Amino acid sequence: MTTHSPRIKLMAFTALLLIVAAACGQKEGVYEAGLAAGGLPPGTEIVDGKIVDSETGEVLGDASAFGGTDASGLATGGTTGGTTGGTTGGTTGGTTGGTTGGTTGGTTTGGTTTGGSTGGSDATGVTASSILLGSHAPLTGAAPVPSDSAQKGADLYFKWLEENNKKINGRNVDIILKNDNYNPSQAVAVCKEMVEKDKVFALSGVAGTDQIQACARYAASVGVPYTSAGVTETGLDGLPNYFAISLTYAEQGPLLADYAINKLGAKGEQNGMLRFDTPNFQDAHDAFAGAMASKGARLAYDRAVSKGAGTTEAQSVVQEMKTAGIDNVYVLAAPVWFLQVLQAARTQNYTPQWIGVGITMTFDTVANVGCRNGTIDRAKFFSPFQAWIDRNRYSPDFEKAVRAIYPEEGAGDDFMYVGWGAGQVAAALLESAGPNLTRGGFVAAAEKTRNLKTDVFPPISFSSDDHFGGSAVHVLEARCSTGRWHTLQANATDF
Amino acid sequence: MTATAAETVSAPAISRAPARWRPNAQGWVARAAVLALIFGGIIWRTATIEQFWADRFALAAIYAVIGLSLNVVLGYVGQVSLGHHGFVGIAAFVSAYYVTEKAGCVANECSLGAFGTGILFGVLSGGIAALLLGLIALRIKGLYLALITLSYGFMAERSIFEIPFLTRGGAGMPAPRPEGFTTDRAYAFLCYAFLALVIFVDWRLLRSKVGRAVLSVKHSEPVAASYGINVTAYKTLAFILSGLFAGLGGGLLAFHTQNVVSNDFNFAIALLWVLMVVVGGLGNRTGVVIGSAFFALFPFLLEQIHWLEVRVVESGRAFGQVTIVVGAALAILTMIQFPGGLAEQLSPITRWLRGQKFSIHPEGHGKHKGGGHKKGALLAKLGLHKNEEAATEASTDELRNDATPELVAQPEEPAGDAGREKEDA
Amino acid sequence: MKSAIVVGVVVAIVAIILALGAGDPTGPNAFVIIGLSQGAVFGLVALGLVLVYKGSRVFNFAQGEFGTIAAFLVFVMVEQRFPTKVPYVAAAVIAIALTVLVGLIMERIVVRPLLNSPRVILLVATIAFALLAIGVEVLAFLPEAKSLPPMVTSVFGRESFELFAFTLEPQRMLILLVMVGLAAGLAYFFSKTDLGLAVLAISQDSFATRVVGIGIERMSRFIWGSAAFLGAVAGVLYVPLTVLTPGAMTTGVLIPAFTGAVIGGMTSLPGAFVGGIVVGLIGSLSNWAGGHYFIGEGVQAKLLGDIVKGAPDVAVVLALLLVLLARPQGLLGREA
Repeated sequence: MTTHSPRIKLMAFTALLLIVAAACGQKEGVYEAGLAAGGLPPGTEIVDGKIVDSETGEVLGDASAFGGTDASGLATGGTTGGTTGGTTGGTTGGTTGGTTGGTTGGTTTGGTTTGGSTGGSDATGVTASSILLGSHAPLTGAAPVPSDSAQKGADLYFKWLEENNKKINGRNVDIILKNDNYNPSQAVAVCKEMVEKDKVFALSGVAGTDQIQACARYAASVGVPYTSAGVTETGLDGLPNYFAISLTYAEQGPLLADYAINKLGAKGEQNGMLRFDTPNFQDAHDAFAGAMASKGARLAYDRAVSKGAGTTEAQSVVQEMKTAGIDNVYVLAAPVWFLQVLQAARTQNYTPQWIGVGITMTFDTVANVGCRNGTIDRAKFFSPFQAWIDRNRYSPDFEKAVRAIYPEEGAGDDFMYVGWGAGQVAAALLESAGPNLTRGGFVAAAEKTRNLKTDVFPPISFSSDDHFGGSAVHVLEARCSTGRWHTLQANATDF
Repeated sequence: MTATAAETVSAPAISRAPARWRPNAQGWVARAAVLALIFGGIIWRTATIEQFWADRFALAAIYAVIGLSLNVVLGYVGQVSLGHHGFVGIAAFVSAYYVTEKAGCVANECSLGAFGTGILFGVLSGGIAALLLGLIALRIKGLYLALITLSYGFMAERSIFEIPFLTRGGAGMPAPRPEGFTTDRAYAFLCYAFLALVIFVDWRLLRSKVGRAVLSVKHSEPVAASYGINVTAYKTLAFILSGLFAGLGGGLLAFHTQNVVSNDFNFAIALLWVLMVVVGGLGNRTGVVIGSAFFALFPFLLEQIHWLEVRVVESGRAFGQVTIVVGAALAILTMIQFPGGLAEQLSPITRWLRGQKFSIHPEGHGKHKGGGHKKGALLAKLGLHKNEEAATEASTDELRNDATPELVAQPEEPAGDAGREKEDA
Repeated sequence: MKSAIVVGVVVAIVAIILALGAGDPTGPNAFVIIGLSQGAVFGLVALGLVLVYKGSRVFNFAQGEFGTIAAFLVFVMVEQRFPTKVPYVAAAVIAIALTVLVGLIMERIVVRPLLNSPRVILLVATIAFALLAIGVEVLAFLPEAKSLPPMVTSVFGRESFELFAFTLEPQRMLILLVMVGLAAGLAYFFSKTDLGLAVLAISQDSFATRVVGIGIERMSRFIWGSAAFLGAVAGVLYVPLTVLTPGAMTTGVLIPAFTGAVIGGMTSLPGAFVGGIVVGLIGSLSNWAGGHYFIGEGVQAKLLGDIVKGAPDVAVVLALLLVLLARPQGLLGREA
């Protein structure tokens, strides 16, 4: 948004082109014609082009980095549908022309309505030499991830590829990471910003069920591919461009029940479940409770507490569990409150077998604080990533990469390790989408992914009707001798 | 205006101020041009800037609505509401609940009628919540009202906002925008329109009999009562008005985020809203709007400073946290050094725009410029507390023409102080 | 003696609950103990609130943050070993002293200029100070949860005390002792010493007080310093029992403490003591009522906890509303 006169010229020019485009009756090929005229390099179709609101004829986006103003203006004029589709989603390339993209231009058009091929031939965020991805994580809030590690972890794998002169179909990958403050609306706000302002190709969520759900819904509405570790299925099932790269909490429910029964002897014991009272944990609860019941294990204590729970509630539930003599407790809550429960349990000399599933729960800080003031020792949690302490066993390159790229970080930490793993998954999915990378192509390629093996996450398989790709879990154990999580069993599929 | 300092402040009860100075034709044209430039500039900027910035402008307008709502309680009545997130939140949920569950709206398929009804229900729910609380608050004197609002907000946060059918928990209740306003830009203009409506209503009401009565209640309840003003009734009225505004703010906020989440309405945000009103300038409409918009936009403005963004992000901090620190520091600075807030700083301009001579020193307010807090306790006890003076500056300005002189003159009465002491006791 | 009667009634109610619940493992007895020990913390913070209210006629929303600041200072010295490793007790004393300094600075910069302002403005100023403190804590220590080890691990040579199936750790015993001691000390101070009487005088009529030669500034300094001291003691003692996060003493403690202070009457130190205990009991017992039915038979009964979300919070707030409506001067306060 700099000078005025070129802008006005551009607007007039664009308006003219729009009239032409309308006259063409929104035929296929307008898009390519515009491209050809613009003379953009291959692979850069829609990147950074002017986004034009065809209703008003005004320019919404920033000037293109390619081919000068006129060239990009031309490209834009011809491809209004396609470009606007980038931010609005749901349109399929240039075919919808001015009307669809234009009238809806903005943020919340329904990408979902177009079904499987959401995003179409949209290649926002992709240039000849780079791909831009966006990611959100709770760097503050109830389950904070240290920002420094998260930032470094997010792009570690891609930097490592660069370092070794490996490219993904000729492109390097850059990642932006933004803070969602463990708050769903903040998550949507930063996702929106990354889509509209930073023009990322795809989004991913690191942790936090509600935030992932909220941002995935938003991404669906604008046709942006979205990947995250598995959390809930509520509200995510059926989103055409959402992919869970590990088992959801609900899918892990029966597994956890099996684990409790066959490995921990839960059948003859008193079992309990402690969860936050949020609909997003309902499916996880039902799956676990159902599995326990069907296998004849007794769920003697089943408690939902308010998300605002504090020390008093923590003491109360510990008192209740202690009184009821609960031996195994499945905890599904924010880590901060879990730590308060552990604290209360320690003071009451109550040491049950803690079990659970988690992403944020299996970060080493939880084990560390939980060991220092609580009773987390020997807790066993399912996790989509192995323990950092076992990094060299499963991912020998990780430590090398950290030492090469961030020498000040030593051997890195668990947050960087998760970032490394997520980077591998993203790289593999991008690779499989081929050199002609578009959002539609990415989704289509992802749906063909079978048994994708990376170092950190369990194997992943998607299909066109199943976007929940997890297949196995890692079993981690908290050990207070190190104050960290340790991998008990990797890639377990049954117990 | 030729009145001297003393005359203006004490506005002699027996005579109205002498005929006001009026600008000539060119003067009016210049003022109109500047106004047109300001408003035209805002509209032009909103119309041309990127969508995500328009989205933030919409948020600024919504914050301004919420700020004006708090201003009614804090600026006009002189009470503090620490539970405004309760009013705003309940309205946001009611609006979202209506459009999603009752009107069956989904993304891109929501009629203006459904939106309007949703907003209306939101406004009403805010008003009703305020009425209920106001009825309780009738029995409460002085600062204790703060605790009532605090407990209401706390209860709403922990109880009402956790009701699954109303809030859907987790990622929240969707609130799709209506047809024609689905883009951030269009929605920003819609929010501007609602803000203009709130400003208009606030302005008309303050100039009405009700408004004068409410202001007089703030200055001194006993004196107001002695003039036959039903103190509790007017306080409740003001409270309801504040609730209605807050309800509107909540409804607009729902369609702004399009996904209402209980996390968004917490004690901390209510406190931040109080601070933004204080920084803007208590009782001053323009100041409150600017202050609120500033607080809404501040984190995004900070982000524009690239080296700062790099520093903040790399060190693991967030701009929201910086905003809290800066906002709180600004509020403290405002209270102890510039009690009139931004409004006072901008008063030369706003007064000029209103058709007075341009002057750095506000007419009749020279005495509390700078070092005001050094005033001795005795002086303060006999005279006017500077905060009230500054806070009512704008309103007294506005009222000068049609308010009853007695009420305007009220602040100078020593009785006002005695009344407050009693109220506090 | 009104306070004796009120204390007697509270004790009697507690005794009746304990007697009724005796022998029932799922009964309320352990929750009574949870409530008492939690209430002691609320009472300690409420003492500071009452002190400020007596002296400045304002609700001090920064009272909780005095505690968090002190806890973070202890954390810096004990856990981060900055500037050097300091023994725990010494660190606690230094942290409390530094927090008193913070209180004095706050008094000088924020409170004193506003002494003659409307009380609402002063109240908002304390809010701003609390937010400022929380913001600085977040920026300085990041929001991740931290923990402090307990200050004492044994009292009278024992490491824990069993009371109705509830284990009282030494730290909690310490809190109870300190609270009783402080309440008694403050009661003596306000009824018997010149300084205490002067503080009371200021709260009644600052102008008249000045006329008779008592320095308002000096009094104000004293009051806010003492409030910071009380807050810091509460923080240093309580945070080891929970998780250290920015604003730890504000989010979970301040509102119940206010409720306790109001129930006690806002001007009465024994009242704050009793009020804090009552609030602790209300919260804990409603938690018991909300959770009690989940135990046994594996049946999820749809009872209090399901119908009223967040039952403990609601109960505390309802108590506050009830007291404000029925008896605004509180159980032990004087007529307003």
